[in-house]
Amino acid sequence: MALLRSGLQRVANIFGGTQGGILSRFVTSLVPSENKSVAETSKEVIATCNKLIEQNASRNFAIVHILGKQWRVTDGDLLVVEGYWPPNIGDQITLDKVLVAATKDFSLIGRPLVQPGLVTVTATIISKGLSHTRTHFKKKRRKQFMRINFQRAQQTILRINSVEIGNKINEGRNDV
Amino acid sequence: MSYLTRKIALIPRVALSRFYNKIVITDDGSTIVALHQDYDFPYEHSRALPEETSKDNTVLKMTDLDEVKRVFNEMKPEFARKQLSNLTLTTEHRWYPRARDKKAKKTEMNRPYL
Repeated sequence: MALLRSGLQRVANIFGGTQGGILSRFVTSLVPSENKSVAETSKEVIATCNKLIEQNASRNFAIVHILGKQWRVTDGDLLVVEGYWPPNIGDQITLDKVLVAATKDFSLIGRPLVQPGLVTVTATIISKGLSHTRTHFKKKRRKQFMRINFQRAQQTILRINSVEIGNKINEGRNDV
Repeated sequence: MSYLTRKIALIPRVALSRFYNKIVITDDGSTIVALHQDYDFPYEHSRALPEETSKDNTVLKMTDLDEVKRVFNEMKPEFARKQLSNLTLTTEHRWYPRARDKKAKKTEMNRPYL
């Protein structure tokens, strides 16, 4: 039993371990490794992200949830939202259901929503109208059954004014 | 058996942060923060390595045996067709043998200089 145990231990040592194990060979050694605790690393990363937001180096984009659909939006986008939606022409709204907000350098991924109050996506309703007429045609072969319906869906066009990320990642919610 | 499972079950207290790309989570657990910055490297590191020049004092003009093999290797027409079409950015169809050439007369020309 002891023999078996020592054998298994040796096998485990070959595979695992950061030094000299087989797994270590798949990790590139070009980048120097750091020995930091998880808390320290996360603090550092969040600080870097906050600094990047302040610098405002590249364009922001966000994935927002509107009427059951997810849209990737950035400054100046036009969206056509289909279905019944109360906002009227000229309304300025903020889209609060932000699933992902990101720039070139970092991404904030919500679970499911990004930290509330951090990302502000503002939009203006441009127009409300109806879609083109869609034909809904049903026919069953050899059964003398045929129906034709026409339908038009409500469409709301909205312009995304801005996608802004506040530099307050990991600072408690202040809007609620 | 426990020492085998321990390796998997144990959650490391030290993050393996060997890579520049890092994924962390905020304290309230609402957001995952992923950092993926581009890191520039110095221009001189982007240039090609200096070309190695090896002196050869052989009698042969060509020492690259692979090239010699490639030239004298008898290629199958399918591969030749594919290569030619790739080379000339055309379809493979124009590299097939023409049927009318087979039917052509094989008599000697009356006056070959014409």
